[in-house]
Amino acid sequence: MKKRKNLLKLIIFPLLVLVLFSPILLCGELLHADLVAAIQPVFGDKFIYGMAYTNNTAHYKLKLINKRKADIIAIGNSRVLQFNDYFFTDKTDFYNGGSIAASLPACLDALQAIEQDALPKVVILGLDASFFNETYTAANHYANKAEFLNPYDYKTFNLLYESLETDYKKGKFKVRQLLLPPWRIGVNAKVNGNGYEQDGSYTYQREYNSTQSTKERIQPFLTDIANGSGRFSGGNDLYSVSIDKLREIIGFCKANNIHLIAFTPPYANAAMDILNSRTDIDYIDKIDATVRPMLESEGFEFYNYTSPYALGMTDDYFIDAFHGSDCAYLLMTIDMLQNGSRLNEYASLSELLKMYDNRLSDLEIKR
Amino acid sequence: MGISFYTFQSISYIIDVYRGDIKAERRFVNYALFVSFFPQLVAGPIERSGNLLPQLDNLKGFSYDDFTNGLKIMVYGFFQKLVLADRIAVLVNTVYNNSAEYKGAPVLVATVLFAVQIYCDFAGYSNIALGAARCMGIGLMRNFNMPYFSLSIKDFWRNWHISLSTWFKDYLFIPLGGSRKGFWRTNINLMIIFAVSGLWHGAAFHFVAWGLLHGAYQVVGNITKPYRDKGYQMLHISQTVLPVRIFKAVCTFVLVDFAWIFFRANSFGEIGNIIKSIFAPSGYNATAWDLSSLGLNERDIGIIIIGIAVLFICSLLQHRGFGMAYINKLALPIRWALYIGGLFLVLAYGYYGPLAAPSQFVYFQF
Repeated sequence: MKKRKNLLKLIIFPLLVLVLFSPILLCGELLHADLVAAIQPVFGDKFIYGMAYTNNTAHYKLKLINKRKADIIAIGNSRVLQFNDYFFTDKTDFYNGGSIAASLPACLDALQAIEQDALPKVVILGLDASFFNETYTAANHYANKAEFLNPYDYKTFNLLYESLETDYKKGKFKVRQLLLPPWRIGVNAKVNGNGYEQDGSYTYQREYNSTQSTKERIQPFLTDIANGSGRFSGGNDLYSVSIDKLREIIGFCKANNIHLIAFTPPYANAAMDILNSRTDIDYIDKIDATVRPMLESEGFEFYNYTSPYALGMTDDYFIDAFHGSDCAYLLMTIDMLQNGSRLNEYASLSELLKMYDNRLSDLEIKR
Repeated sequence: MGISFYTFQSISYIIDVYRGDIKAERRFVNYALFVSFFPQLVAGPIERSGNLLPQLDNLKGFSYDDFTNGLKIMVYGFFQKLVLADRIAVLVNTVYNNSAEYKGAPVLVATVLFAVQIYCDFAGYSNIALGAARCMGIGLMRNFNMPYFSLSIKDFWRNWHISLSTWFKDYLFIPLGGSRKGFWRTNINLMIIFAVSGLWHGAAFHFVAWGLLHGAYQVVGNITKPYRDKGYQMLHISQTVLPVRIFKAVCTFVLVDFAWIFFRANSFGEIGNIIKSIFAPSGYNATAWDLSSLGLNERDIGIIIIGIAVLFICSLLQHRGFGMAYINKLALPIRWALYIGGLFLVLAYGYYGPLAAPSQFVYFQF
């Protein structure tokens, strides 16, 4: 009788511990990116991976690129993340590797790290203006290191608890929000609904459901843009190291029969107006003139979407001052198709036009 | 790794067999297990053959009580090591590894905290070892018995690193004549064992000086004892009343902590400078007490303060007889709340992980 009681206690106690610690254990922040990459197919289309306290995106994206072996991949920083698999006729043709790299050296590292049998047929490369900014790129240790692809970023229980404790005190979430649903992994996904989807694109559920006005959404980075802080630093010439790296990327794509489609992502109108008024950022205007011939001479494609006015986009099409919405990227894809892009082999212009007409808002597309 | 512990354990076995205190172990596996029993291999307790070998000879099966009590001891050990010792180590290392840069309050705080650090580090390891062994049904000897509650230096050594103190007593002090050969010979023997004890901790002058200082404390204590006793008598003060006991415990702690400066200093030459910097009046202005520049943030300092309070309360309760046996008699919900609270303290407030750079157990170097 006593033995049975003790056995029961040995079973119940660990279960009780698991239940009491479940908000920390179930929020998903302790899961390693490798494991998430392995288990995410189980959760289907509902899956969202949004970590709040760890940045292991590069490693995670590389894992998925190698695993999914898609024909088309998008790479670059967060400004390519709104290309979605439902832009393409066969959804399995596409994977979005956005946020795998925050510089051209890191983009090259990422491409070279892809396993031979997972190399895509088409690469959509997002050429963020900051990639060509010497002040920002040269100083950004994180962006340029090949170690950027290493899987070492992770949280332990104590560090996670400290972060959670701080944010809980600020009222950023309620404990019950950390528990469910299981297909949302990471505190950002659980609490805000923001994170990577199955196809690697990023969903901004918090912004979609927000009552914020467009102006409030765009406002936060405008001061940085006006002041020339960080990625918005000034510069007259293109950073020569980045040009050399782009040349290497072109060489890599040629050598591996990959068709390269490069584009410059758009700024919101309010941001673009400020950039146009600045006199210290000549390098942005020089991107097109320098990069286009480099690509087109090799039979590759280049699209300049820096100005939102080119495609008639308004601030309503932007998540913030420099991140376009799904609709903005749909418009850009439509433009590419209309200009005879190789993407025509994988996407239907008429379907995308229909998708655009049926959009839920200027931010969100009906899936 | 753990060579001094391994060596001392082997020596004690040989001497015990030579003296006829135990029979030679004929089974090689049992002997090998005795000298290399993993929980206590690297940092003690230095087990005696008379205690461990018979237990290895008659291994018990799984015992619920042993297993759960072992886990409880381990959690307490992890609390001492991860929540307190490793966190305090950051502050102490910042000051002691750059001792020329600090004066006054930071050095004083680091010195006081080092006493807590080394206790939590070593007692923490011992508790983890004791707990791990207990989980397997093996009882190891207790290595610490609330040493900072000791009322004299002699008392301190009865409660600090007990397995080493008793080893020296049994295999060095008594063979040298112990206290049987007169007052002065006793004191000379004391100086010898403390010098050797210092040397055991490390082949450096500052360790030997630390040992000799403890020896000197005891010799001076022995010489002055009749006069101190007479003084108490003349003043009609009982030595057993609480204020006197607290006074004695504080005096003992101050002496022990002063000696820790010799132990923690990185070299013999550094000791004088550290002592001088503690007494530098310029180091006690209002800004000198701001500890946030010593490698820890406010949260860490708060955890240290609360952690020391928890440690003090636990020690006090243990001292008053509210130890494991008492806890085991509490109602199940209270017990489980205590265990889960302890586990949570260690997991959530422990200083470990990729950003914490946890320090090695101090005694792994010996």
